Amino acid sequence: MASQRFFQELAAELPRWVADGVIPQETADALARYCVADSTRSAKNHLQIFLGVLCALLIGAGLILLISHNWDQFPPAVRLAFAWVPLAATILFGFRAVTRHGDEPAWCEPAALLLMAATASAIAIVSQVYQCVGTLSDFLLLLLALTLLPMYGFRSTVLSAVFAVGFFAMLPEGQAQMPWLMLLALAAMPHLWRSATGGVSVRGRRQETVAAELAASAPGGVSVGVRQLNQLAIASILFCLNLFCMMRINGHDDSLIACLMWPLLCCVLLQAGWLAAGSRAGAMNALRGIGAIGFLVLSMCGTYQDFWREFRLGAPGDRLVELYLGALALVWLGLGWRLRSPGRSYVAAYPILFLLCMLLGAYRHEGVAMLLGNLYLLLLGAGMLVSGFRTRSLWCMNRGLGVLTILIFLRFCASDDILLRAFVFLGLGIAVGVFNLVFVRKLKKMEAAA
Amino acid sequence: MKKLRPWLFGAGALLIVAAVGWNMARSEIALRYGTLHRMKIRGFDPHDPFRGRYLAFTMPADVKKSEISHDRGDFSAGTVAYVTLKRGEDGFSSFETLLAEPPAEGDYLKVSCASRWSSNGFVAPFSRFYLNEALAPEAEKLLDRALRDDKNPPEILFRVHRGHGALADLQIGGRSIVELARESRGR
Repeated sequence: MASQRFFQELAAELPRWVADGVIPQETADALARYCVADSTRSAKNHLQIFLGVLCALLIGAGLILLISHNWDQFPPAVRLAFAWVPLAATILFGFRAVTRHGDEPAWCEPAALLLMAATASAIAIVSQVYQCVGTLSDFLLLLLALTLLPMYGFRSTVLSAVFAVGFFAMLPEGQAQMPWLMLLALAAMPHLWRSATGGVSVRGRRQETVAAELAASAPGGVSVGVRQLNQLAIASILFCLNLFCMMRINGHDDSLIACLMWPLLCCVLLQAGWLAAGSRAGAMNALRGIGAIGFLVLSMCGTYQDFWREFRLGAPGDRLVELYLGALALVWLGLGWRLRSPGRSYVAAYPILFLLCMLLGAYRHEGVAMLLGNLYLLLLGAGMLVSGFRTRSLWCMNRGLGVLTILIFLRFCASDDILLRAFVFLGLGIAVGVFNLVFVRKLKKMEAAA
Repeated sequence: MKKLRPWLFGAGALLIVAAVGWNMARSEIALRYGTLHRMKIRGFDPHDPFRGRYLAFTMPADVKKSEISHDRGDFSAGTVAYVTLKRGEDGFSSFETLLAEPPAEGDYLKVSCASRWSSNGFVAPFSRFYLNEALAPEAEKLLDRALRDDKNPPEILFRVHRGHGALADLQIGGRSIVELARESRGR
């Protein structure tokens, strides 16, 4: 079956074929309608899978937190049962998924994720009950090794992503395990490559894609309009001014200056990259990439109360800084709003949110600032998921799922009230699961009617 | 490839069950049939994101390498070695000798040799005691206090069976730190 990328490239080629007289307009219209229908179907399937994965993550995390709250009351035999029972259940579920629904990612992906979550918790519980020796690196290495065969068995993209993240997480600390890590990476490479290329023959696709990119980038490189250049110039000037002012402010320590520079730097890079996105110029895309990563890291930091406790306005003389930042944030909002890019409002709004959270921190409301930070990341992830579904962009949906997964992981590992977190996770997991079920039924009705 | 997938999954599931089961079986056997040892320690309280809060401690390791090591010359970092245990007159055990091969008799633990910059010859077999997140801060305070108290120094209890050790408890004054932390928290 042809991939979504093939249909997208086909739809992009149709106008040229009509212009060159290769196919008549009617045929091109029919092909375009077919491509749209396929990409719509594909986007719906992907959304179902992603919602299934999110539901599995949330419910799994909620159950683990609920159990850990009462952990001390359970005798060792019961604790071990908590290790084995979920593991056995997920193995059975996984076996059913592979044998009966092997070609349906909507089954295989959540089954794969549940199996690995059950494995991780089983190893952790046994290690804890028996006080087993071993560092975090040893634990991660074992988990990566056990991920390998299920990854191939399920043909799971989610497990590929988990493997890649685990691999990079181990690199700084896992020096002693390096030979094994490299061996695992080699063994996982065929599947990781397949996941990254979407299963399409790389050689054929690369030749066409490279040719298309070369053809587009040359004229595209000079097609950045005067208006965009002006906006880019304004952004650059504002950045320099901001940097100058920050360096000149007296009576503030380095951490405040660095903190103020961070969001502005990230937003400048991100918006500069987006401003020139139409040119397809590689350097601007790299800029956008760096800006996006920095922006995401900053958003993640904003989900912690300690962050707003550390970075807050409040010293005498800060009124001027607050006014300046407020004006700057409004300018960013205005600039960002004029961009024609999905998600522009989230990035444009961030400086204002950041300033608001710093003010809340200054008035000792770090808890509210933390909640706003979490809400922002939740909306960002959900927005990307919905936007990707609407524009039929798998890349955007993947990013949305990635952001939501990071948020779930951060909150799971936080050290505040376990019971509250458990109920929030379970509630959200059930809500997502119910939504997914309703969505699937609605889709089936629509397809039956069509 | 499609026909192979259930087999790959099956092999993966078996491996998972074997890995979890082996860890559990080894520790259970050591706890049931192993010889009990007690050893004095020092410590602090960090966090493992997957296994929860734990008390970290260090074990005294004044060990001389055996004469065999000169011939074999293989106590490089990461190499497997065996450390024998000796029980003192005060009832506490200590590490005696680091060997390249397991001894014919007596209790010993399988360890990994440390880097040459380490002050010990090997990586201590036990360094963590996991406990409930809610009790960890209280337990840390108790451990800290006990470390400054010469009359009731903290100690670990572990059982050893054929080179594999299983940590049974961490005690202060003969009582489990978990029990003490619960009592202290209850107050």
